[in-house]
Amino acid sequence: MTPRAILQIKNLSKTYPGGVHALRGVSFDIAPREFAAIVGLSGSGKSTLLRCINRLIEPTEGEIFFDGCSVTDLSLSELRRLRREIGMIFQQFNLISRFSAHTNAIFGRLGVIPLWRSLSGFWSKEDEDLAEKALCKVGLGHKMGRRAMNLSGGEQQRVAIARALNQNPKLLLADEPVANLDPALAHSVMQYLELANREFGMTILCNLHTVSLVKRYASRVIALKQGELVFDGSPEAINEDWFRHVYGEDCHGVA
Amino acid sequence: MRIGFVMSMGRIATVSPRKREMARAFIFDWGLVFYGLLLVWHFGSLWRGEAAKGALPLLEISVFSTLLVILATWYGATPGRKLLGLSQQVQPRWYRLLWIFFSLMIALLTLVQGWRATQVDVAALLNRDGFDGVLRIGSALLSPQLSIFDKAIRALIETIYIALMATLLAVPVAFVVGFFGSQNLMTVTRWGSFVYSVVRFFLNLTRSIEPIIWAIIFSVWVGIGPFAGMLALALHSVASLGKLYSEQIESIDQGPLEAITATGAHSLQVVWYGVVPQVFLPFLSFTIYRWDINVRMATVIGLVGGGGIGTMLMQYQGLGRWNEVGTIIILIAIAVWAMDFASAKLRAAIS
Repeated sequence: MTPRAILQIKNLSKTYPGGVHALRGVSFDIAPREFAAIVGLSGSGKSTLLRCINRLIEPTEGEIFFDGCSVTDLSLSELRRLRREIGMIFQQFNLISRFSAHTNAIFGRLGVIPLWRSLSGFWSKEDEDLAEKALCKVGLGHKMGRRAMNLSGGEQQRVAIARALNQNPKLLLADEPVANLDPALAHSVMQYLELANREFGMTILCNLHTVSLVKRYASRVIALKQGELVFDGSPEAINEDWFRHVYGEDCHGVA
Repeated sequence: MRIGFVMSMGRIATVSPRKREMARAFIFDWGLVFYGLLLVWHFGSLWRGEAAKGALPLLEISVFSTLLVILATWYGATPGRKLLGLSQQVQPRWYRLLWIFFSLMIALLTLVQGWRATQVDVAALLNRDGFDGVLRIGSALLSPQLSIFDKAIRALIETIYIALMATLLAVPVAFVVGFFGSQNLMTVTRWGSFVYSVVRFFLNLTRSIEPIIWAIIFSVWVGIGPFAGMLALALHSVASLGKLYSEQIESIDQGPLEAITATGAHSLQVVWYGVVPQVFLPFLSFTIYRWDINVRMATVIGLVGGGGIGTMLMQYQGLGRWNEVGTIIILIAIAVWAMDFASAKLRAAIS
C-alpha cells in the first residue's frame, strides 16, 4: 500500500550502560513525505529513537534502513554522508549562541563545505546565499546579522529550522521542537515544519508532547510506552481510550 | 564502539557502583585507622622513653589496621561507610562511642604532634635580641636605597617579560592538551580513553612538581638566568592551564555539539564550532589570570636563579644590604598589585 519506505526501523532496541531499556523491539516504516509524530510520556524512549536514526546514539540491537541503505553498519565517513541527508531540530534549539543567525544557518551545510573553508570561516558566496535564502524561508531574512543569543526562543528555533532546511535533507528529525515555547509560538514553529513537509517534500519525524499539535499537523502518529511501540496509525484514532492506552490508566484529558 | 564522535548519553560502568563505593569506604577507614594507630605507637614509644629515631613498624600497623577495619566493617557501620551513605542502621551505643573516642583521640594527638613537629617555641618569639634584629631590618626596609631604582626597574621588567613569554609559550600547548585531556570528548572511544589517561597522568605529574623545583632543574640544564626561569614557568603553566582548559571543556553544553554532529560535520568542525565558541572567553580569562600568577611566581623563581627581580633580591639579601632589599620589595609589591588589579579588571570586562 505505502510507496517504497524512506525509513525502515526493524526490531530496534537500545539498552543504556546503566541497564535502562530505552527501546524494546520497535519496528515501523515511514513513507516519503509523511509527517509522523511520535508521542509518549517522558522517558518512553522518543528522544533515543530519533537519535538512533542518525546514530547520535548507538542502537544496541535491530536494523535501520534509510533510503535503502543500512544505517547500522557504516564507516565514519559513510555515516557523515548519511547525516547530511537527515536534518535535526532540538528542544533546546542548540544554536551556537555567539554566532549570528546567518552563520548558524551556514552550519547546516558543514558536511558539504570543504574542511579548510569551514575552519577558516572563509565562506563562499554560495554558502552565504543559500543560508540567506533558508533564513528568508522562515521569515528571518531581516534578522540575519543578529547573534543567536539575542534572538527570542521562537526566533532561535526558526534559525534552527533554517539551518536544517539549508542542509536540504530528505528526512527531518524534530525532538520536541516546541516544548520550550509558549503555545502561540508553538504554532508558528510547527507551521514551518509543515512548510518543509508540503513545499519542500521533506519527510518529518517529530517528537511531540501536545496531542492537539499532533492532531493538527501530523498525518500519522506513533506511540511509545516504556520503550515499546503501542500504537501506529492515524491521528483520527486519538480519543479518550487511546489516551489512556498510551499515557496510562489514570491520565485523561484529550485536548 | 566503532565510530569516533558519537555523543552517548551514558557512560560505561565496568564495576558495580555499590562495590566501588564499598572499596572507597574501606580505603577511607583503613587510612583513618592506620593513621590513628601510628599516632598511638609514636606517643607510646615516647612515653616509654624510647628515642623516636628507630624504624616505624609500618608493616605491623598495616596488617593490624586491615584486621581492625575488616572486623569493624563486619560488625557494623564505620566512618567511611557512613560518609558514603552505605549504612543507614543505628549502631549500638558503645560502638558509636568507640568511634567518637577514636576520632577525638586522633584530633588531639594530631595537634600535639603538630606542635612538636614544628618545634613551636614561644620564648624565641618573644626574645629581646631577636626583636631588635627585626627592628633593624624593618627600619632599613622602610628607608629605601633609591640609587638602585633604575637597575631594579630593569630587573622587574625582565620578570614581567619572563612571565609573559612563559604564558605565551604555554597557551598553544595547553590549548591542544586541554582537548586531549577532556573526558567528554575523549572517552567516547577506547583509543581516546587511552590518550585521555596518558594526558591526565602527565598533567598531574607536571603540576605536582612545584615551579621552583622545575627552575632548579632547568637552571642546571640551560644555566642560571631568565631562560631557565621562563622554561620552568612555561612547563608549569602548560600543566595548570591544560587542566583548567579541559575542565572548562568538560562543563560545556552538549547540545550545540550534537547539532553540529547531526549535520554530518567532520570531528574537527564539531570541535571548532561546537566546543571552541563555548570555551573561548573562559580560556582567555584563565590565561590572563595565569600571566598574573606567573609574574608572582617569576619573582620566587628568581630566588633560585631564574633571573629577573628575584635574583637581584637574592643577591642583595646575601650581602645583607637591607635598604636595597627594601627598595626591591616595595617595587615587587607595586608590580604584583598592579598586575592583580589589571588582570581582575580585564577578566571582569570579558565575562
